Order: sequence, then structure tokens, then C-alpha cells
Amino acid sequence: MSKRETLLEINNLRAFAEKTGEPRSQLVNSVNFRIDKGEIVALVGESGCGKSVTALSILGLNAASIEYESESEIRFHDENLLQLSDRKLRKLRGNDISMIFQDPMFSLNPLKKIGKQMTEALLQHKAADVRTARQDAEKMIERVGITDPKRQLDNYPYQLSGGMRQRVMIAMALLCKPELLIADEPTTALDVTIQAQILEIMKDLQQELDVSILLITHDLGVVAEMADRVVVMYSGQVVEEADVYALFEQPLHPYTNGLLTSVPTLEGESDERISAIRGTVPSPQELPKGCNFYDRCTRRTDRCKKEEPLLTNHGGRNVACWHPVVEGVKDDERTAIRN
Amino acid sequence: MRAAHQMLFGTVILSALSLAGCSNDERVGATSEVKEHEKVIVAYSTDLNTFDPVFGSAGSDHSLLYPLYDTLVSFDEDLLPQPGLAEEWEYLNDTTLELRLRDGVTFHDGSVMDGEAVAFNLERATSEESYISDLNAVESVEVVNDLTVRLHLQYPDSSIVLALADRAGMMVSQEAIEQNPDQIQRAGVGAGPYELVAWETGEKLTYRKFDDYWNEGEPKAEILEIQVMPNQMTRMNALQTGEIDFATSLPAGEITSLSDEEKFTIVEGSAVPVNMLYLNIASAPLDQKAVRLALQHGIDRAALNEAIHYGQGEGAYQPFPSSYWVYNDELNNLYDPDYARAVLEEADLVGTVVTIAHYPEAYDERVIDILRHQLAEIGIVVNGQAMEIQAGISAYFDEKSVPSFMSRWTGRPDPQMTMTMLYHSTSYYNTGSYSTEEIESLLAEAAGTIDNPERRAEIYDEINRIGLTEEAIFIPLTFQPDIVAMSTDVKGYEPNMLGKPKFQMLYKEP
Amino acid sequence: MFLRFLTKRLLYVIPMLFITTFIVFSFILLIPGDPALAILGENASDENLAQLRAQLGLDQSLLVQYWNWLTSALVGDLGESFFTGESVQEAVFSRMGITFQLVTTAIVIAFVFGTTLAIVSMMKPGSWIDEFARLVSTMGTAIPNFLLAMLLLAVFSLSLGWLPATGFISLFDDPIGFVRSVLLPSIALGAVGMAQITRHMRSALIEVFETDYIRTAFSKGLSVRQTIFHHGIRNAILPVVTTVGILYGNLMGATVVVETIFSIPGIGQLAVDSIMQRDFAMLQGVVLVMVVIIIVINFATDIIYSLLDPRIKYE
Repeated sequence: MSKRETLLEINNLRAFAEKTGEPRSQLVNSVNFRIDKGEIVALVGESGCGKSVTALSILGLNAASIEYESESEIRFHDENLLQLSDRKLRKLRGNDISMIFQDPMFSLNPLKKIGKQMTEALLQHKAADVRTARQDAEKMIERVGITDPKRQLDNYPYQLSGGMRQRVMIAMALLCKPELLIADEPTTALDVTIQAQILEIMKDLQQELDVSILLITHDLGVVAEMADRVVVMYSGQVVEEADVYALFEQPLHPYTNGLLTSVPTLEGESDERISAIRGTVPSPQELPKGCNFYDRCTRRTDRCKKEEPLLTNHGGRNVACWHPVVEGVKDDERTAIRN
Repeated sequence: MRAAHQMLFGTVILSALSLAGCSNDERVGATSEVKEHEKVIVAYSTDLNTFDPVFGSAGSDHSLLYPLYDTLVSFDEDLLPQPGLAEEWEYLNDTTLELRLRDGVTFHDGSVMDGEAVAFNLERATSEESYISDLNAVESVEVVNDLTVRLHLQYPDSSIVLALADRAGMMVSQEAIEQNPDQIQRAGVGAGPYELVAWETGEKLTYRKFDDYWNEGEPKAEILEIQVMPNQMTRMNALQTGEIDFATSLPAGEITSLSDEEKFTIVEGSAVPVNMLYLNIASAPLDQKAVRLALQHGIDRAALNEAIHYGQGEGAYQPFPSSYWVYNDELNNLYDPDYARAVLEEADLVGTVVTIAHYPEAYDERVIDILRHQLAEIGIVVNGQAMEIQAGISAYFDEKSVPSFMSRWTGRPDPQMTMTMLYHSTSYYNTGSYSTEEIESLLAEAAGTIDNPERRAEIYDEINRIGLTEEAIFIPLTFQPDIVAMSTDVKGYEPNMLGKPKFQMLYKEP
Repeated sequence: MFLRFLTKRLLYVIPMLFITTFIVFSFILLIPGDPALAILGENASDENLAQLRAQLGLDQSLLVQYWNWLTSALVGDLGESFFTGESVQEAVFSRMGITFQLVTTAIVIAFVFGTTLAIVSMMKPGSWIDEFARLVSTMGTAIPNFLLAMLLLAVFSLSLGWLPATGFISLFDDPIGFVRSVLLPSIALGAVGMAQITRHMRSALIEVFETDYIRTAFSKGLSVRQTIFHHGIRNAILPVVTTVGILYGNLMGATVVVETIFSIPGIGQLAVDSIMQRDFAMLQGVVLVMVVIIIVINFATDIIYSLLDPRIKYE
């Protein structure tokens, strides 16, 4: 693993939501990872594990009701994005960091022409005039494989298929040449054949533009195909972080192990694979004292129930477990990553 | 067929879109250079339907017709006959009335108002098509010379003279009618002090001073504008803001907001229109005299007047107000709940239900509530049945499906008309066609008493005594106060007992 | 394509006009009360009544009467008032012109203020203007229009003397006079609409703000204001267009109270007068024109809708 320059670093991210009359929901608890320049990091976990909240917190796009603990930090170019003023954050959005979403059916405004929506960010950030912005947009959607770009820019979203719309989303997100692209389940809503095409395009453009990607997914197939590094989240926490090859070769966390070994059903969503692990996820409103995975774990001990395992370095990889699948390192040799 | 539809549709849309583009103010434009003080603006409750006096039946029309049409006979504020277009009249015998006309009167179109014109108008008023029934006694009209006309009657009728102060006496230009009889309906041509300039139906009527009016110096205002405002509060508001100069029929309870200020003059008058219960005597349970008598004696009119008019009107125990020349001093209080109850008990009719149709107005609802309360005391159960005006008239007068109807008798210039219409068995208003021989012979006697008003008043006293205290043919309730208000610079107003103001006398001091 | 749509709509309008006019015609004749009786009053002898009924055509069967009316109406003749003899189309059009101006002003006021309040309250949630918007939307529906009319009158005409208490001046005669004469009545009339529009616009904006494309807009770096103006309003206004269309019809029917209080000779007054007098000819004309206006407004609503939403195509 070659050492690269760090682009974004998430330290100790803790996010919660509180509604009057209800107990506090701990949505994200202790998330730590980094993204290097030019790297594709996959953020994996089942729905509700906090991966979307984590992703949205980078751009400050979480609902106003979601708050962060004061020690949380998202470092980007020496600034803590969580502390950034709204104005500064807006300058970042769509410019240095952009994002694409799960469902291309709803991510585009149905009442605006594609061209208008695409050039919006350019006009916002790059002081371009409408004509050049439009030319840029044309070039960009040609690059994502849309033919007849001139005509397509004058179309409305409803005139495009789902795959086409996601291509538009990708082109739109990359138009300002961002350093980081956050892709939140970009292929989940698409047909399998289209999925492959979209991933292909993303990968090509990533190399061409040298953009880092944070890929949020629960599909391990997508992870294997795309990612350089994998961050596994469970119940609001990062439970394992590793190089993609290392992870697939030997998962350390029993949860990751469960994910990889469960048999996928033929027509099933990948979500079902995860839920094939018996037991249920603890509610974010009443997290256990010890390990969050305790209820479902095959390797649990009393210690797991009493003490919360922290993310620790485990032979060059990070895992949060008292009893990793491979017991290569003794307890006292572990270095706590979290302080 | 389809094309026609679309054409219609197209026309409708186009017209709807360009609707107000066509203004109807062009004619009024001619009046705009008139100085402010030369124009009097009146707010009045209702519009009329036609300017042809022989085709109308609403009592509210007169005030809008008077400025246009002078009548043969006029009346003073006590409803006594005064010279009009006829300077004097004389009964040559019981059935011949001679009218001597004013010289030099012309209609608005320049034609002469002479004996021929009068005969033409009177014959028109008595023709088949005319709605006027006041001249039923007239057999023929004889033109003696240009300024003398004789009415030959089939039978004596003491009300004929004042009938000539009503619709029948409104003289219309013969030339105008012969040119276009339909035109008269929309733009009357008379010999009155004002000419009609514009009639914006339901909105306003604009009259301009007739320069050749026979009465030199009248009218004093150049323009008379009558705005139609059905809502009494609206009339009051408009007066308060100075948008109008004169407002009619204001609510008794609300005029205090005007009386505080020096800017307004309020005049309260009393008039002949009477609120009453019409009874269909042919219909149960009102065919029982005991029930009718209980109604007559069981209602405390003074209390009723206090409650609904704040004491400003007058309780009614007869169809004439106390200031009227035929008022019967003895019929001033029939309220006697003990007697009413005794009558009912004797006839074993305690608890009888009387259905009364009434208008769905707040005023009428209040009256019904009070009646229900008062009559419950003596053993009559009032069942009020709200019906809007035409439905009520239909139900009571035409279908005769309700036994009683609370409405208004609008009054007539001559008491003989009122007495005949309320008491005679052949009258439209006597729905049960019930009367007594005595009453009818008294009515005939009064009709023949053409030169002795005192005697006539005595006869009416007697009819009212029998008809109300013994027979209870109808139940008078109250006289509404007749309240008008005007800004203090408006002069010339004289209330009249008919309750139909003549706006042509209004003017402003410069 | 649009022409075809237009033709189709017109073809659909024709049976609707037939049906509504026929239904109204039958209902009118079923109202108790006889116009002949109303005209004749005390002179209503059986003979006179029969003669007048024949003259007015009331002695014929319902179908014959409708047919007579219809065949005249088709060539643009709506007949004459039973009472005043004035031409029905002239009366109806001049009155409709007044009401149309009044209602349109009320709608414009309701729309402009309603949407503005909703947008501003969306931009500054929890601010005084947000509270004010909420107050307006509650008060507007809670206060009946006649009460509001009287309140406005008492303050702006009777006390302050700023605006006239009665009357109407056409926009085409005197624009300033028009505004002065129409301001209070149209506010009284439009208050309910303003409340409805504020409420609908507000909830539509909230709904729009929960959509993914708004998140996309934010992710591009747009400010709240930009997002509202570029992505929120047009999307949120769609349901409001429907509200406005419905409101038009409602207000057309609701003007009579306001017309009475301000003494405005509009179609509402005419309709009530015709009903009271049983002036069937006039009433039928009023209803026909009302129906046509409502149809035109529905039609206009559809067109505006299609202009705002490219997904709707008329084919």
C-alpha cells in the first residue's frame, strides 16, 4: 500500500438526533477514517448503520435536527468542515466536493431542463458565462457516454432513462472537477446491466480526473470491483478498515466475516445477505454498553458484553473487536487509534 | 350545429374577457360638469322593474317614478289631496268627477300635457293589460276641452281622487308611448321635474332637471342621482363617508353613529305601511274565531315595538298610525291576555298550533320569536315557517298552503283603498274571502261618502272595530319608524305618511 | 398538438353546457313561487296570471321551454328579463365584468401575498414573519368575509376616510379609481384565498424541500434562497395553481355578500335578485355565463399547469 497524501480525514465523528419526548438517537458513534488523494474508499454497511449520515455530514447536508458532538472533526484542507460557516461550506459544495445520490429518478428537478441543472454549479462556482458553461456540460455528458449531448441538454429528466439520469448526475458532479466525489449508493436503484456500465464510467473518470471517491454501498460486489480501501460500519461505528484485497482475503471482524460468508440469494438484494446473520441490530436509541455486535456474534465472550471494543491497529489493519477472526496480535500489542 | 355552438362559446368568452371594456358611462358623462352642490345623491333600497307606471306592482317603485312623472293629484305630508297637474277638481254628482288641468304643461319630449293626454293615460290605466285596479269604478273619460276632463264612474268611489295621486295619476307622454311602447319601460317620458338620463339597472338612476318644468324654480338641483343600495348598513356607511347625501330607511337601532355628529340630519317620520299577520280565514285553525281573537288580544304590541324598534315605531291595533286622519282613538290597545286565554279555553282550543309563514330575515325571525313567546302565555303554539319572499307570497296567496303570513301592508294614498283591500271578501289580500255583510255595506257607504271626510273616518272606525275586535280578520302588529338621514347641507326634505319620499324636492345649499 | 387538445376540450365543453343549463333550467322551474305572480302582485287574477304565463312561455312543458331558450341562446340571444325587459346578455355581461374584475383582483392579492408569505416564512422559519404567515392562514379561514368586510370598512372608510365605502369603478374607465374602489372588497373577498394559498404553498414548499432534488441543489452549493427560487417555487406552485382555479369558482359564487356590503352591482347581486324575483330568463343567463367562466378558468388552469410542468403534455 503506497503512502499517499491524505485528502479528507474523519476523526471521532459522533452524530445524534434528539426529538423532544424521545430518547436521543445515536446515529453515528466513533467514526474514524481517511481518504487519500486519488483513492476510492468504500463505506460498507447495512441500511441504518450510519454510513449515509457520515457521508452527508461531510457536506453538511444532514437534516438540521442532526447534531454533532463537539470533538467530532472532518478535516479537509486543514479545515474542520463541521465548524465551517454556511457560506464557506457552500463554496465547497459541488466545487471541491460533490455528491451523487442513490435514486436518479428523484435526484433531478423534474421541472428543469438537464442543461440548466448541470450548469448551475459551474455558474455558481467558476464565474463562467452561460455559453461556456453549456459547452463544458456538453463535453462532460459526452464523456459519460451520452450521445447527442446538445439535444439531451434541452431535455427534461422525465425524457431520460434511469441509467441516463445517473450518467447525468455523475457528469454534473464532476463538472467542477472536484477533489472528492461522494457517491451514495449510486447503482442501487439501477438494473444490473446498467450498474456495471455506471461503475465502469465512474472508474474511468476517476482515473482521468484523479478524483477521490467515497463510495457508499452495501453491495460487496461493487466494493470488490471499485474500491481501494474498505471501511465497514455497523450500528453507527466503524468496525473494520482494510485494504480491499486484505479484507476479502481475510476479514477480521466477525461481522465482516459474516457478510462475506453468507450466501447471496439469486435474485436477492445484497441487504438480505447481511441480514442473513441471525439476530437484529440494536436500536440507536438504546445501544448496549459493550460491543454493539454482541447479540449477533458467534465469537462473543463476557468481556464483549461489558467493554466496548475500540478500533485498534491489528497487523496494519484496523478492527474493533476483542476477538478478531484471526488472533494474530495480542491485546497488549494493540494500539488504540481512538483516544 | 356544432359550429353554432362554438361560435356562441367564442362570443361568450370574448365578451367575458372584454366585458367591462364597454362602459355605460357615456351618457352620464354629460352630467359631469355639474357643480357638486347642484347634484343630490340619494341611496335607496330597491330598483324598479319598469318605468311604465301601468306595468308595475311594487310599492317601492313610486319614489323612483315621482321625479319623472307628475301626478294629476298630489298629496301633502298628511296624505290629504293637493293640486297636481290638475289644479282643481269637483264632483259634479256622485259619479262624475271633473278635473281642471294646469295650463302650459309639457312632457319631456315637448308634447303638450292636455285633456287628450289625460284621457289617453286614464284609459290606458283602466285597460285590460294595465296592472292598475284603483280606477275600477271609472266607466269612461270625457274630454270636455283642452284643460277639462270628466271621469264618469259606474259607482261612487271616495278613493278616486287620491288614486290619481298614485300610479294611475302618473301622466306619460302619449307620443312617446305611440312611438315605442316598450321604450317607456326602460326610459319613461313624463311631465315631472326631472328627465331620466341613465338607468343602470340595479346600480343607479340618474335624472337631470327638466328645463321646461311648469313649476318655475323647481326643481332646485340640477342632477338627482339615486343609487340602489339594498343593505341598510351600506346606505349608512355611504352617507357617513360622504359618498351620498341622503339615505332612506335606516335601521332604528344603528343610527346613533350618525346622530352624534353635526354633519347629519336625521328625520324620523311615521307612515302608513303596517306590519301584520295576514290570516286565511277559510283555513284551519284560523276558521275558528276563538283562535283569531286570541291572536288579536294576546299580542302586546307596545312590548313588540319596544323590542324590535327600540320604541321608535308604533304598536298597531288598526291599519292606521295615530297621526293619520282616519285613526280610531278607541282602538289603541287590544292587548288583554286574560281575555285571550278565556276565549281559547271556552272554545276548548288551548294549545292550538298556528303556522305563520315569514321571511327568512333577522328582523322577521325576531318578531316571530317574540310572538311565539307572548302567545305561548295564552295557549297558542306558534310554528314559524321561514320562506323567502316569492315562495311565501306563492304559498299564502296562490296555493293557500299556509294559514297565516307575516308581511307588510304597504299602504295606499286613500284609506278607502286600504279598507277595501283588507276587508272586502273579493279582495286579493283577503285570502279566505271572508267578510261580513255589515262590513261590506259599511265599505260601500264609505265609498259613496265623497265629500265628508269626518263621516268617512267614522265609518272606518266602525269597520275596524268589527273587523278587528269581533272578527279578527287580520292582526296588525307594528308601524316601522320611517328614518332617513342626510348631510346637513341637504334641504327640502318633507316626509310623507305614504312612506314614499319624493326625492325631487331635495337640493343642496351652495 | 395544442390545437387538437383545444378542440377536444371544446367538444367536451359542449355536452357540459347542455347538461348544466338543462339541470339549472329544471331546477329553476322547480323553485316554489311563480314569476307571473311576482310580476302581477295584487292584480293576479286567474285570467291575468294565465295570460302572463302564456306571454312568458311558462305555460309550456319544461322541454319545450328549454328548447325555446336553447335555440335562441345558440344564436346568441339569451332573451329579456321577465321584469325589466332589459337584454339578458347585456345585463349579465356588464355585471359579470364587474364581478370578474373584483374576483380577479381578490385572486391576485391572495396569490401575491399568499405565496410571498409562504416563501418568506420558508426562508426564515421561526421568525416573526413565519408566525405572521401562520396567523394569517388561521385568521383568513376563521373570519367570515362579511365580518372582515365590515371591519375593513369601519377602519379604512368610516374612521380614516382613506377609501370609499361603496361603489365600483371599472379598471378601463379609471385605473386609480378602480384600485380605490376595489381594494377593500377584494381584500375581504380574497382573505380566505390568501389563507388557503399561504397554507398550501407553505406545505408544498416543505414537501418540496424534503425531495432528493433539493438535496442535489444544496450539494451543488446553492444557498437556501437560490434553492427556493430556482428549485422550490415552481415545483411548489403546481398544487397552488389548482387551488387558485378552484378559488376562482368559489369566489365567483361568494361575491354576493361582499357586493351587498360595498354596494357593488356585480353578478352575485343580479343572481340573488333574479332568484328572489323568479326572473328565470335572467337567472338562466347568469348561470350560463358563470358556467362558461368556470370552464374557461379550468381551461386556463390546465394551460398554466402544462406551462409549468413539462411532464404534462396535451395530446
